[in-house]
Amino acid sequence: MSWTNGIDITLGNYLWLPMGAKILAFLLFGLWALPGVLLGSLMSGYILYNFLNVDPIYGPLGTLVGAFAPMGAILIMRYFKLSTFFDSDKKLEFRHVIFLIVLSSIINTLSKLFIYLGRVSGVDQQQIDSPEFILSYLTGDILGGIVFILLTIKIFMPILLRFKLI
Amino acid sequence: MLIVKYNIVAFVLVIISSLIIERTTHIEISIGNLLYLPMGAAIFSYLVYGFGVLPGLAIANTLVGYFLWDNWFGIGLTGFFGHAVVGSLAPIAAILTMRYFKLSKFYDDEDLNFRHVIFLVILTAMINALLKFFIFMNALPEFHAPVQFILTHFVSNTLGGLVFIYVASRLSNFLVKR
Repeated sequence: MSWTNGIDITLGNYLWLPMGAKILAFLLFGLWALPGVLLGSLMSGYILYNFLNVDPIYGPLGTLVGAFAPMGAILIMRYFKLSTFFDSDKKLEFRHVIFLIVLSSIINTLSKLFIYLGRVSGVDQQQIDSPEFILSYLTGDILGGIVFILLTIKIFMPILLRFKLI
Repeated sequence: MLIVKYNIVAFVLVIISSLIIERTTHIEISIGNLLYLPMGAAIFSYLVYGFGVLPGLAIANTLVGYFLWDNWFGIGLTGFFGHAVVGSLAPIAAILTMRYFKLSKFYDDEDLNFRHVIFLVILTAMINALLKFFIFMNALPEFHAPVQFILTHFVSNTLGGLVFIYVASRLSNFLVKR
């Protein structure tokens, strides 16, 4: 994703695939995926997006929120007994997963807005425009989440299974 | 005739809950009231009587905004869209979303499933706060605190919704038993 867009924290990438990767990791491996997700998020934030340059505190904090948001959304949906995400044949329940992506994206976007607003600035020192921030982050997270999970489950997994690679 | 009765009940519920918060707290459109009971009245009406009570709720919200809040504190049509239209349609959007994604039917046999209703209240509050934010941010003369706006509206709608539905369901159970 770092190749497709410039590094401007005040605007979200319109296809944020890592959101889908995090959600799928938590769905498939449970809470045990947290250390890996945290490490991956922090490393990509540091190496690809240089979040320390944005702000030494709020940059990494925003990245951490991005790692915890999908976990929070899964725990909320399980607590309210809305879904277990898998049907009786142990197949993913896609409608529930799509709602999970939307919920994760809302939590991620609003938490980041609350953390960043008034504290960080983008390239050319422009301040965050709240509506633009919400719209771009929300769209990017939802689209990225759906695209990543659909690609993985519907295309890559069958190919790997067909050639007996997994 | 039944639908007219339901509309009248929904209308009365919204008016009474609006009068309660009007008399007990300070209302300001840029900061959410911390216990917005009319949201609970709207959700409760939709859950019990169905979407047919939309006219009653919309009329009640319009009358409250126009007369009680002095033409939505002077912002007129924008206030109407933010308060009456969004306020009446947000619970429908939340209920339809939860039904579309097959998350809940809200009833186990004939009893309300309270866990699902609590989530419905939270989802409605979220939709309501975000839509109002996008509608009001250009209309309000002093709009400096988006975080405060979203947070206070979200908390007020959630708390108001939960308190109203809890009290109303307890009261209706008590009346049915008597």
